Amino acid sequence: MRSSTSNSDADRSKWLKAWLLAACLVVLIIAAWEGTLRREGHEPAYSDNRPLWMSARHKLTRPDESVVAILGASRIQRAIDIDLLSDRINRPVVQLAIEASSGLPVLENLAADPRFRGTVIFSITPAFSFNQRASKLDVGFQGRWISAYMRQSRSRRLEQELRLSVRGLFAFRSAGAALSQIVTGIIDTGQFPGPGFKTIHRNRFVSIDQSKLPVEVSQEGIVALYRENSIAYDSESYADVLQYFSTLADLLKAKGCRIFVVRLPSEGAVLDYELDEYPQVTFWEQLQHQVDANFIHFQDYPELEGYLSPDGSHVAAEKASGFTKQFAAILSANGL
Amino acid sequence: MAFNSLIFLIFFAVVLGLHNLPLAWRAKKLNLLLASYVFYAAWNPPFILLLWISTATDWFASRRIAVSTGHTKRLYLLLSILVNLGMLGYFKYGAFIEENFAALLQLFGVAYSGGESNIILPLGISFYTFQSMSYTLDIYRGKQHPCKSWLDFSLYVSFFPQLVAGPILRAGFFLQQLADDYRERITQFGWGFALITVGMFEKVVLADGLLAPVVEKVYAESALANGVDSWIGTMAFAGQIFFDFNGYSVIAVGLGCCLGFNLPWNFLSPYAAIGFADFWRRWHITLSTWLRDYLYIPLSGNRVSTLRTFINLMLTMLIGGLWHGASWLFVLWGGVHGTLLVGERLLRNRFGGSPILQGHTATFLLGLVTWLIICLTWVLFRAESPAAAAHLLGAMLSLQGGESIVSTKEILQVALVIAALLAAHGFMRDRDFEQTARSLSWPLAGLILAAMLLAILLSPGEERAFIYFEF
Repeated sequence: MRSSTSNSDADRSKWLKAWLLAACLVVLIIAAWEGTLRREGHEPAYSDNRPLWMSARHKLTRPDESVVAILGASRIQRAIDIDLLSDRINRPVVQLAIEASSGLPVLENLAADPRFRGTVIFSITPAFSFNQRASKLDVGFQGRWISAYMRQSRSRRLEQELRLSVRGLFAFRSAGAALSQIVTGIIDTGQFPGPGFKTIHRNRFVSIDQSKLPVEVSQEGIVALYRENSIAYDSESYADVLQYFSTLADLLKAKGCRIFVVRLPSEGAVLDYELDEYPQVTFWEQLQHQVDANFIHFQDYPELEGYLSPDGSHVAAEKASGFTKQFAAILSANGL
Repeated sequence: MAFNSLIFLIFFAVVLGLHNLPLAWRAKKLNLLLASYVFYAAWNPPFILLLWISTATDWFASRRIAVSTGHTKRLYLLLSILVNLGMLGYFKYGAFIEENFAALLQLFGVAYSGGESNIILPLGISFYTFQSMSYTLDIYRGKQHPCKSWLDFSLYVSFFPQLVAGPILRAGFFLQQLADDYRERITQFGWGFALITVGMFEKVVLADGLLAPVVEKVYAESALANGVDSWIGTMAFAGQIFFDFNGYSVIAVGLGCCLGFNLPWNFLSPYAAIGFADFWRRWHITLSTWLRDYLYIPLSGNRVSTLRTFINLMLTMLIGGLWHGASWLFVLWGGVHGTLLVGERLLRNRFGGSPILQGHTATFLLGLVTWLIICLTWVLFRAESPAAAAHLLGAMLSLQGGESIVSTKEILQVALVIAALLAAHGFMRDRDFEQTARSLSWPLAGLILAAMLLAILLSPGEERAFIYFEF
């Protein structure tokens, strides 16, 4: 056995023919596969993962006072059509909300970033924002994304942007159209599976097609999920969180940032649960009292009603643009 | 810049384009040197200084060694070793030494805390310091003439295809290929790109796509893993680390071919090894031969008493273990391999000539036992803590029952990949990979390449760094 490659030049034409054959086969098969996926309704799509979040976070690296950063959980991620809001308020808008998270570690990251001078819209989801598991005491998930963002080199960032661009071109590179998923779908149902229920846009706006959900999501289901994943704060530890929030808000204000704390609509069993577990007087009003920010509560704005999906927690995908327009008008009325 | 990145594809296309311009050989080498620095600096620009320090020190020290004698000669060698091992010691082992120093003081009742360490490990430092140091050691021992060209020497230390994870080159092997009058230089695009495709397939599809998710699941929840989970997770890791590291090495060799250079193979069907000495002749060959030539043999190797030979073996393996990372688990992993080598040598002395061990069945069984024991040692290499390693090893050896965290589909997936890997290694054990590949007809080669490219393009897996980048 040789310990290294040889210097043989004997089979140059053989490799040329082999490569021509391989290239033709690859182009043909990929084109056929892409065409099949498109015919079945699949489109290029993104995953709501760390690279997409970091790509959004990098948009805040220039000291631009007009920029708006949205923080929170899925409630605001599904409610706000980013491009539309940007058009309406005439400012660049960046979606940094992370599903099932408090948003506090991201707020801390923005407060500590001297380049960030813009406006923060912080969406409160009681079960996550007032929840010990997703608070600053447990920042595992958000912490890892933020830490990866902080450590990302320029070349890694360039690679990330290139990969996202490629993903935006081909349906076969989307997570939902992975070959293994398609094959599993065909085996399980005997039919070519169509696109999934979740569409994630390049700007991290998420829309859910309720008709394609694998199981119907009810208000009771959402409440059960909250109950399973949350440990509500007692008054003493909530005081710590308020203090922490207040300090971050002061740091942001000192840099010239503006902060909007918003409570997006919920209804039915979800709202009942939120009011029971996190009473307005104890949580929201204390927040208003202690944190120096603009506050927008859906109950003060009747125009925000009527947009929710049957789950009672998220704005329905087909109503997101209408909701965004109303929300933009409220922000403008509040001086943004 | 990782080989499995799009940015590297663009980078390599530019480098290859420039390399094939009708320029003088010196200009092409300068292009490769600048490209290598860009490649390295893309990860963390300030750390390029370390590469330059290593290059400049060994260039200077080697020239002084060549013209000095006695004590002065030794001093220049010491300078090279101190600078290279000093950088390695600080960046790779600084935090580890401090942590253990604090623990030692605590034993004597002294409270010491050096604060949180935030030393970043420079990419590939273990590889290029060893490569650069081997040059001064060879000159000191009279095995290598000092290189006359600073450009050639700098390119030898920093040649980007193998800079960050090997194969570790020897000066005698590579510098001759840089000489203006080297006559065997042939650019092999077809074969080079075929190797790059094979390496990418190993990394993207097999290591990252099929095996890594199972490994991560088992090792992240090691406390919950039962016997089957532990075996499946560990066998998957045995496959993952091979495909990951061999994939990198094969890509490096392929890149070399495209640029007209020969690079050494780093793996020769290691999982078909019969015995542990055979394993180390087949696994990470350029490191094991480095340790043999610059550590084991200078310690007198096996030319001394049996006991001293065993001590030399253990020392070499312990240092080899520590080379992989600043953790007692790596030291233990090296120690276990040292013990296995000592045990094998004792058994070979006692039973080596026995006719029972010569047949096909015995050879097969010995190979299987070797592989299973190698798998057990991988637990120490991969586990996140000694407690996790102990739990997994306990579960593997006792075949502990309980609820499984690995699904049937994942078990089948790992079993198929590992069976194919072992069969391939068994088939290739005494065959030459290049000869085998070159003996394929062009339609078959084209079909295999197309299948691999399709698998790479359709692989949905996340982009993961090469495991050996951490070393």
